Amino acid sequence: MKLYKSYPEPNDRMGMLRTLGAVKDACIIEFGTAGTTHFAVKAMMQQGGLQANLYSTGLDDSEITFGSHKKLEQAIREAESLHEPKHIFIMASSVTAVIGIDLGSICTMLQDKTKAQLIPVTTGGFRGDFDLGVKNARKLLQETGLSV
Amino acid sequence: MKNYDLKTLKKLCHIEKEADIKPLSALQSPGSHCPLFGAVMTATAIEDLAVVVAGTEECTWYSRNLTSMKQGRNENLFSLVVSKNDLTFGCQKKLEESIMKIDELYKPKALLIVTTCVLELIGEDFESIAESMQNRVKAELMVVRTNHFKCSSQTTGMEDTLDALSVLMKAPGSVEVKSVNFLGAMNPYVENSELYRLLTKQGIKINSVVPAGGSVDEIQSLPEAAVNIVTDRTALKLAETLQSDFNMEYIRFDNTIDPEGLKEAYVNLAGILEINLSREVGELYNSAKSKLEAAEKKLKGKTFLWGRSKMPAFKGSAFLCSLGMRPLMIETSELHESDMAYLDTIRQSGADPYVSRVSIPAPFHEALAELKPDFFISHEYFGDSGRMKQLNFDHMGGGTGFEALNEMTDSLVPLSSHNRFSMKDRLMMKMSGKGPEKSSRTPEMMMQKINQNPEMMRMFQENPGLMQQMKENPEKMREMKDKMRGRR
Repeated sequence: MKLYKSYPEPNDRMGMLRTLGAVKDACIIEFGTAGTTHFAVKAMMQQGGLQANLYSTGLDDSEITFGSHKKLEQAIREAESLHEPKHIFIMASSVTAVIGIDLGSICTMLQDKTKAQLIPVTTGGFRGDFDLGVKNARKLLQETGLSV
Repeated sequence: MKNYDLKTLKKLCHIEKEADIKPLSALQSPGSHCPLFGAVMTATAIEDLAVVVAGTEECTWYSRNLTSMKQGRNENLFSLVVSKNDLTFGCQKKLEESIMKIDELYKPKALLIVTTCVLELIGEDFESIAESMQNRVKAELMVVRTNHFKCSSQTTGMEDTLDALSVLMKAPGSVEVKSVNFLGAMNPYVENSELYRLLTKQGIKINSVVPAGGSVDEIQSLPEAAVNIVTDRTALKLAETLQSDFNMEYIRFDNTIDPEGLKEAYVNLAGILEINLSREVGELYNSAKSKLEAAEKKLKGKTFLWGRSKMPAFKGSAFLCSLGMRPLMIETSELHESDMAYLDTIRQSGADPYVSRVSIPAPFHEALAELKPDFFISHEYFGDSGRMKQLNFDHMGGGTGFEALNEMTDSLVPLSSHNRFSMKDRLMMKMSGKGPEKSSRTPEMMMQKINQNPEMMRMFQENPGLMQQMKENPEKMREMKDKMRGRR
């Protein structure tokens, strides 16, 4: 644990989200509690950098206990209907990363039912700093053919 | 193409608990605020209270950022960031070291630790750690536990934070019989409120205003007042604790949406304080009553949709029902226990609207197009809504008396497109001498409203020449208007 009097150093998940959030018309669904997404949306709007469609599924007690991804499935279907995106980034949150939800397998399972390419982003923010997140996001964007 | 089916929602008659309220959309954006936000916004309003947010970089960074944006102050806010190791092996040692460091270097009178989702997930027992540390530090230690998977909004964070502060309170040497506390005020300008003015005119001392403008010393002295006035429902828990621990009565001014209820609250308050408010309250009551009766004549039978608003959805909807209006759909982020009385009021009016949880704007857009209400209440800008009138109740008074009722009623009538603009917009138009319609407010009334709005006050304080500039330069006025819209 590190104690900060001022702003702590942002983590890799924040760098990832900041970079993906700058991609015009990208679709990002966070599988996690809504408060995290709210904070991120406000911060990015403040910085003028939110171009993507950033959503949260929200998460409650029972979903954490039983590991349900039904809400995620519904969210993906709805995002497809609203935006018809080519790619949907499915982002883990710190909570879903800690409980070990296998986003990669979920995306594989749901891919057959989805036209958009589902791209899992599994970092919960514990791998490194902001720069690492930006680097990983750029690499991901290169692989998917998108750009900021 | 229709994406959302209103029939998937329950109607109000079937709403008994929070879980009955479903969203139309599986997506949320930006999503509801979490209890961490509520806790930090409440705690950082209190002077000389050190606040330590323990969580990931996101929780700590964002909460600091948001308090900076909204309150302009976070000098007592600390971030304690957890790593993978801390989650695996526990945080006790590092937490203890951090608390000792803050206590030694900054010497706060009190220190509040706010936990977050990830720490609650692993079950770290911060309360026990704080208890075991109390005799090693000078600051009074408190813990507020927050997580967003057990609740739906920031309200529990605010309630629990205010209630946690009760450990600071001491049994009074004596009680000052002609004094009150205001509990729940997030607005530091409460001295402009009707209730404050009426009481101080009668020689009543305002002992403490919590949390806005409060301090640790003021919280310690809360039991010295004769009675607590609850101005926001988030303070109800604290008021109940004060009642059980110190036998202090409380009067609620947060839950009254009708003149009779307000009159009764004033009568009860005057009885406890042994003062006579009958003339002033009588005048306010009669004035509010005739205003409401006049409004009811114009509004009876009008339909509305309640969307995203800072005002509690069921409270606002119940008020509109009391004017004979009919809700078709109510969107809310939570169902609080104090909402149950408002649900009864709405049911008794004969209305049975759809009830939905706030998610993304698209379902509300569709509902507007399908249900075609006369009014809709939302703080989001919907552009040209045709014959549907948009209202924004976000900046309505301080909720401490008849003034709140009057302000809401005034905004409903006259019925014109003028009502689509918020109070800020109307102010700007008034100051520039331009505007689509005449405003019923004089510049003096507008100035009073500025004084009651912290955001606007800050704007004018940061720019002393702004008022004059706006009068002379309409282009600057438009820039400020756009800037404020961007802030929303």
